[in-house]
Amino acid sequence: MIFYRSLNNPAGTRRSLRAIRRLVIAALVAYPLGCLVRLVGPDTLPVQLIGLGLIVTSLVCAALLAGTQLNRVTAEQATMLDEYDRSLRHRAMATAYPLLSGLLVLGIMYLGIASNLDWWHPGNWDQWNAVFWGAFLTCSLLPTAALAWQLDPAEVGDEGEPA
Amino acid sequence: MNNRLRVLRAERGWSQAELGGQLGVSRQAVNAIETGKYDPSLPLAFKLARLFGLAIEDIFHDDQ
Repeated sequence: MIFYRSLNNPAGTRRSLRAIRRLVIAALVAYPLGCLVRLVGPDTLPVQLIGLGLIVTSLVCAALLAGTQLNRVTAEQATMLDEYDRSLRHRAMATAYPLLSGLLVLGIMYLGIASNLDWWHPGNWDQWNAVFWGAFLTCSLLPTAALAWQLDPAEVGDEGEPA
Repeated sequence: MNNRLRVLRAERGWSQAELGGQLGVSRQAVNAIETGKYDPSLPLAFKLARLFGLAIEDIFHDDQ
């Protein structure tokens, strides 16, 4: 959970829920897809560049999310939030924690089975590094993702008065 | 819980952001209270009551 607090706009950039949902999906899908392309695809320059492009796309989307008002709710210091934001954070964490736990259990189960059945599993530094940053990205974005799907536009004021 | 916050705010000509500024909460918080999506804490309810010069039960009332 990383919030980029701008000096000019400490409350975060205002983006619509729809835009945030698209950014979250792009960030969470493009990264593993890029890693898969680089891992499974032929070792040619165009394919590797496509994989790298997907990973960079994912990181750009994550960077765009980092400074948003919604990400502020899940990632800013708690003392900087008002009681409504803290209640939203509680809701986000209450959803994201079971999701992350489920993903972790599934990942460990897969590694256990894969090592027995000789399926693919991370085998060198580069692959473990990619898994680590994928896990880091997922941990960082899941609370914001959970919140983006729990809220409706009226609740965050997308359909209310202008900021 | 229902409330008369939108009406009271409109009577004074305040925007959600202005009311939020006086209460020390965000515009989104005021919006969420007005639309009944969020019930404020007791300290915030007292703050609201003091600001409008009313009792809490004059602003908030139970559905039942």
